[in-house]
Amino acid sequence: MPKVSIVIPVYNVEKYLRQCLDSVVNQTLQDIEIICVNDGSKDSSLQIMQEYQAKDPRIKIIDKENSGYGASMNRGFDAATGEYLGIVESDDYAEPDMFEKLYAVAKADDLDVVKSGFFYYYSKPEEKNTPAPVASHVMCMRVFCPVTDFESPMEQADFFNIKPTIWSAIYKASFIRGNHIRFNETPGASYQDASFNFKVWTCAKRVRLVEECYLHYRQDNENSSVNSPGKVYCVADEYKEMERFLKEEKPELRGKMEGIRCRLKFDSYMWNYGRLSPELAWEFLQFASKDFAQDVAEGLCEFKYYPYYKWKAMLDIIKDPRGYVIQKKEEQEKEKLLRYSDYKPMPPQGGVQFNPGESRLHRYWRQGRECVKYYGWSFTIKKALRKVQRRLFK
Amino acid sequence: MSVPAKVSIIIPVYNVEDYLPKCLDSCINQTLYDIEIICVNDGSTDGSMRILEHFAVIDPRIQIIDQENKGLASARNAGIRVANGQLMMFLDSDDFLSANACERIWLETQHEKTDVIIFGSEIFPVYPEVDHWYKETLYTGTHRFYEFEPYILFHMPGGKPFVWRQAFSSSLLKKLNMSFEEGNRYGEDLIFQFKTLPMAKNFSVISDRLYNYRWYREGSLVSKANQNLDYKMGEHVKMVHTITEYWAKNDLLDLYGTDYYTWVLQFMVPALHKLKQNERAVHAQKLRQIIEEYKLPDFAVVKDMKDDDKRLAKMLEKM
Repeated sequence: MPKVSIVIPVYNVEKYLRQCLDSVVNQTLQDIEIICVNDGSKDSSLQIMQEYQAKDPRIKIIDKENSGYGASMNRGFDAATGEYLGIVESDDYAEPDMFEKLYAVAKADDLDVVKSGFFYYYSKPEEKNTPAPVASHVMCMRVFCPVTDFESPMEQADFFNIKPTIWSAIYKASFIRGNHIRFNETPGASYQDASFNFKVWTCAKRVRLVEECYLHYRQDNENSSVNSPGKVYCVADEYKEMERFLKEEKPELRGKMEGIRCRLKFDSYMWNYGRLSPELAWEFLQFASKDFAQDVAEGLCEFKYYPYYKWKAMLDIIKDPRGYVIQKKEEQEKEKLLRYSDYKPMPPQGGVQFNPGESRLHRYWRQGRECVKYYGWSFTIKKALRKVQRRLFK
Repeated sequence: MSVPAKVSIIIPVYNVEDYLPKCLDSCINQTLYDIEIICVNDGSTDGSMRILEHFAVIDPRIQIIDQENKGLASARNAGIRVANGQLMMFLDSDDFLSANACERIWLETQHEKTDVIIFGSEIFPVYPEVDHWYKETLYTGTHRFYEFEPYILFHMPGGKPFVWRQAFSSSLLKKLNMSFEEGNRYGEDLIFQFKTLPMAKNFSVISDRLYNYRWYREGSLVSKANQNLDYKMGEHVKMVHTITEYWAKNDLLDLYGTDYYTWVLQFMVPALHKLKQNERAVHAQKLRQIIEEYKLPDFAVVKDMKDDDKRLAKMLEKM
């Protein structure tokens, strides 16, 4: 049995595939299995894979019709025979010692999941890697269970809210299969990582985070699924899938996890709402309003998982989405005004104010007049003299 | 780049083996897990170090820094240098925190950007009866300020004089390069506050009592100094000098001159009055020199000052 099975979902990535496969084939951990799942690519991706397979017998290729990211990942995980499962997306690449290090950590404590940090990788205009660790070194010190080991509800919500970078981790195969954790088989690549990530954290008993970064996450792939706002409603499917999973597979955890699921849903809906064009956004907000209302009616949302302003925003959206949009707009305008008023003269405690585009003489004259108004003549003259004195003798 | 812990607790430790276990217990049992506990052993001569090492084995979040005895300010500075959290709290080694303290403070920063959080505290032991002054100063209400106002520092009960009732965002402390004044053995808390608070922007005052303060302890540094009034006054004058120097350098006197001058008079003159005649003259002389050197009355608006404060100024001249 190989130590780690690495699943690579491939769809139209001939540009980046070589870099990815090179990094996986040259891993310092030799005892691995590489499963490339070709999701009906229309370019030369399949030829590239076959070329690598001829050189390296550890590579297996699964060739199938186009059926989406979730389905490919499930096929890959089913075919895997390794002790641990890892994922490398075909436009990213891994550090050579990634799986060796992660496997060592996982084996030492018999862990279900080990998660590491990653690099944001920019190839244009010049190569740049920005490290993004998962958590602080304090969080990385211990082995914990995400469901039971957090005493503070907000900290737990914070942990579940970490970016679902499912490909910077390795998972124990028996853990994934035993808990029936599968990807949601929706078409295309559309946020399937969200529900997978949630299922993993819900079921995991022994988790460890690693502060070091190993995977390079490409930021400038035009075909990347993150860049298409048309897929917002797929997010809703993900949260329905999570609910189904909790109902059918983990009914005993439902009371604990539903509150967190609703919080995550709120955050991701609002994030999507923020990046849509106004017309689409309004449509989406109406949809979200109904969705939130249903959750609240079923009694699933819990206040303890929300910061107060988020809770309030959610109730506002349920009550009156139009009103919420107007209120938001007013707030933004007010903020602009506030920013402008920073430059306006203010009552006495404010100290020295600067008006943009004002000459120095004009400013002194204005300040002098204000000073007289608030403090009287004698103080103003004293202060002016002191200022002159300072200018002359320093 | 690394992710900072949520809260860093800095604990200066000096000969407190009787109280230390309770203090550390309260830290490692916080409801918020993601915290750093930085203990600075300031050359203890008793078993404190052994207790620290024992706790560090139980909980890896505890970091120990060992240094020679250089005083409280230096110990806290060593802690600040090492701390890597988003927020910094100072905990004295004979006091303890309530279990939700870190969580409550961290949550406060989640709602809005906050530089300084001021929270309430409980006082113990109840016997002998708690000094009324403590009860009054340790009370806090619930407020939020989006800009520094002199009210926070000079009139609000939460503003002074203990640094452990405030949590600071470490980005603020790092930006200003703040540290405790190591020359002053007495009142480094107050100096720190006079330096930091005027530079901060967002203040949050919460009434929850998150800290438990041991107000009475035999052989504590503070109570020793309280016995020797003359020594205490000398240190106070030094302290006022340090603060005034800093305020003059940063143009704070221009903005809050009246409040500051009033505070100096109220803080120093009644205390000077309690001293004996011959001791009093020396300190009064020094204080007058400071006031003259930095021209405090020029910055103040004498018209706005109360009659009592004007009288204090006259008293100081005659001393």
